[in-house]
Amino acid sequence: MANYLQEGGDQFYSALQQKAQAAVSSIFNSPLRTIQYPSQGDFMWNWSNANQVFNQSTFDYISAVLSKGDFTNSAKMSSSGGFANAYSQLLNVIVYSLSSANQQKLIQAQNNASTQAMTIISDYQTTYGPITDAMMQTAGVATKQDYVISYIMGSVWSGKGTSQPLTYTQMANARNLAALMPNMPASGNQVLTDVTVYLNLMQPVNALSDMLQNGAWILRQLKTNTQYPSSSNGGMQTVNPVTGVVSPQLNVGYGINYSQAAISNDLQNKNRTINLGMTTSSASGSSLNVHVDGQAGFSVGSLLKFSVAGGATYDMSQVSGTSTDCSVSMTWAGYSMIPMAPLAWQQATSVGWYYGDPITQAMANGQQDVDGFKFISASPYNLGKLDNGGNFGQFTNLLIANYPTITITYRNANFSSFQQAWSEHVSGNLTLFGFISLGSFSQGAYGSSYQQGADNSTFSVTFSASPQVTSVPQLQQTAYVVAGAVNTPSGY
Amino acid sequence: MKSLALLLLTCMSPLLCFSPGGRVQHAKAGQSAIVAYHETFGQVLTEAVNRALAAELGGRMWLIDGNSGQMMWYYENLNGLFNQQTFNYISRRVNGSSGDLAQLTEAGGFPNAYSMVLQLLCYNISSADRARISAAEASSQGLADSTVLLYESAFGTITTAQMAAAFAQYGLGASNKLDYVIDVMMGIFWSDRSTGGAQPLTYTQMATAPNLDSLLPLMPPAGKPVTSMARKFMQSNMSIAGIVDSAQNAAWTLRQLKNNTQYPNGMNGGMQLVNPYDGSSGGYQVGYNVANQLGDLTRQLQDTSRKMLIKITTYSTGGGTVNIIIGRGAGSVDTINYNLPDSEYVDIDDTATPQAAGPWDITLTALFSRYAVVSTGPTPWSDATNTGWYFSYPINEAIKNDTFDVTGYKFLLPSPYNMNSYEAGGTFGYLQQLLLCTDRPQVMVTMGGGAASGPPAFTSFPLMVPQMQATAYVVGGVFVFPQGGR
Repeated sequence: MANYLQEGGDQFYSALQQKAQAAVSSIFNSPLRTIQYPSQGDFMWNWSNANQVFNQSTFDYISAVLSKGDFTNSAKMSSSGGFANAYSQLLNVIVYSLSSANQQKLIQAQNNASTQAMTIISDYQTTYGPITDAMMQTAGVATKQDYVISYIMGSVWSGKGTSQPLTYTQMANARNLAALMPNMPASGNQVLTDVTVYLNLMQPVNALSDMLQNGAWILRQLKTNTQYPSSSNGGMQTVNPVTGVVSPQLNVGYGINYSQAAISNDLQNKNRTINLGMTTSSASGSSLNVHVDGQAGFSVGSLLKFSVAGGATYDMSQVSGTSTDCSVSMTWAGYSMIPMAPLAWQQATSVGWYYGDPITQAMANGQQDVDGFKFISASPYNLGKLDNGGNFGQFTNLLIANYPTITITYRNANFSSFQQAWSEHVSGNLTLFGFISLGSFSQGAYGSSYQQGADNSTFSVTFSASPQVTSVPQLQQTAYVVAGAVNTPSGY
Repeated sequence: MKSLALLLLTCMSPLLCFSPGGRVQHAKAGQSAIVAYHETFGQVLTEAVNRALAAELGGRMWLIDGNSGQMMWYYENLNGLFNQQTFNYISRRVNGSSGDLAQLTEAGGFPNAYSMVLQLLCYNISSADRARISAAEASSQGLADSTVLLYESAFGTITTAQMAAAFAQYGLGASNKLDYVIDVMMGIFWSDRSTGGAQPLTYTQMATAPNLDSLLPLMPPAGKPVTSMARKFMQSNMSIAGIVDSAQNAAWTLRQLKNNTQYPNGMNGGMQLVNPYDGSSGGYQVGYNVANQLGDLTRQLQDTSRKMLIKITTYSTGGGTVNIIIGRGAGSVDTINYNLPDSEYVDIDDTATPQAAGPWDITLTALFSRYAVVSTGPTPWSDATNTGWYFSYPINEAIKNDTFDVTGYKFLLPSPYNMNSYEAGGTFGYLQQLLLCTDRPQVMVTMGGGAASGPPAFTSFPLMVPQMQATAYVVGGVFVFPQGGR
């Protein structure tokens, strides 16, 4: 990228970022980033239709994975669904396992429990006599341990008989084991205590096993819900905002915790504005010196280009009658901060797909020999903050606004000449510095009007949202994305 | 408070480019600027909010960043189903380690983490208690032998034929001589239950009886030494019953907590959620409570006279003042004024920059209008009914027990969450209270001695938002962390 473009982009995005941050500073303090214009186009803010089916275009925008942008404090988006794709890949390199030390601990705990099982048998036999093969056969058990616990305690001492004996699980789950043994003889107390100690020793064995199962289960659920979204696990259908066709396949769920009515209210509140100013003057050749919001100037080939539907493009510093001596004001009137998130996975229902804790824990554990979630191979994504090269960002909020009103006030110009050359009846799209899109719409996002100044040498041209862009069907209504908050596993 | 001192020092430069976070507009004396206020006034503002709401808070309130969005506060529909989006907010986990504004995780972060922590807990019997159990068992064996010996000394040797006959008639006493003495002789004959179809006294009934002899009306005089020894045998067994019962009860408790957390249903305190957008409801989630009556909450969040205006001024000459005006609705207005100490808040006397009292004063004005304090929390587990899911005791005890060889709850593996308090960087907190306000909070910093203009008026819009989707800004929260840290 040419230096002047880099500088222009840096200055514009940097200034816009500061304005955006200031606009929401009383309600939002995490850093905002400006968003480089994505292939998804503008943001369709009516995020669901009347049947509460999610807008496909909204989904396309918010489901991107984000990485550091090309300009200061900016971020750039992947194509639609990039975040879920990246998350799915990440899940594949995470496992839940015990450290070597705790695997040994598990084995030791099992050994301790086995030793205690021998004590149960020994105490039983010294009190009640040897357990013979015939006795075990009659009781229908294979081991002496099962004879004592399953048969003697489960059938005899419990009084349940052999038809509906207390199961081992019932005894292990009992709040008070003695209370379940009404027929226990007086001499059975020692065996009962032995069994209780055995069950206590089995606790860490079972808990460690449960932990392994639970960790593996969580990962399986996350993978299933991410890779095979369904209506029962939080997947959602989307609706094409142009055709109204609802997709037959389900995608991963996303949620916007802000009603469309509230967004509409915000956008109609034109008292809330974000303003950015620029001034230009002639530089060498056909270049312009531009100062963005009071910053040091830089040189650029064009300030603002207006591209109309027919294909013609007008450089607003070279249109007949204009001049290079002008000031530009950009005003976004009416903005809304919209929170959004992937559908969070919930352990109670196993609905949802995004759960950050395994990733956070795997990051802390790396590939070390420790307990918990860890990476079996290096993460395919940089999970750091965007400024540190992170490329696993997700949107948490978008600051959207109505299309900016851009007023260029020319000095040392020729209004009559401009008036003859310019038509107010065409609409088009605007590009700042030749490469920063200020919104795009097939029929032109902007219309224009002009007004003469004090004399023929001064006049202003104002670009504002075209009637075409404001009259589209509700589900296709778009807004300008001023900035976004991008979270990563390492924070904002 | 050092950051504020640094801020003020930096403010001495003519450009007033005081940007600790790099997010401050350039401003000139007397102008207003919007700053990353939490980085400068955060602690002072937090203190002011706590003083203003002291009577309503159950602990210290901390400011919450807005990156979790607003909260849908209309928490239940007409059928009593809980609003899914309200749940999604209040079930977040609080991370205390992320700086001066509290950060919350994604929805459901707390029950997810709690479920994982439960997996790490177990109830441990210490080496000493295991030794006590072994000793008690050995002692019991001796007492059992003595009981049989005393019986046989008084009543003759117990024969195999007697035991078989007893078993044939009563189904008891065939195993060994001790069972014959206690279960048959004491439990059937001496208790006068050998006839009339009466149920024998069980071992447990005898062991737990306050007066064993009173249960044995037919005991012959020679039986007294036998029952005394049998009583000692029972007491020896009972001496370790506490340990044994506690272990069983604790294991049971953990199982119930896991079950109720991982498999909530209508019987164990789980609750169904309703989607505020389409009215659909799905499976059961863990229960959460909101203590505020919905009617009260609605009135408070719509009452334009409920306002909290906080004005904090720090002076270049030292110290500062805080002025709080709280409108609680229905004409009730309280005012709280206090001074900030010189030493903490202003430290610019040594600067070489010429100072004139006034020009470099800095004022923060914050207005929270149509506010309410919402009390919430996970449904506590009840031992008696086995409903609910959150029970802090095992976790707190496991933290206290650490790796010590003691009887009680312990962590099998180190917790993946920091179990410290919020201030100490804990990452296992839940939301107990939230300060909400309907209107967008207005926070403004004015500097350079200019009069602090009031926050801009709120532009009111017709309420078109469906009731269940009504949102409010979340300003701050009271959190609960393990070990009672808040």
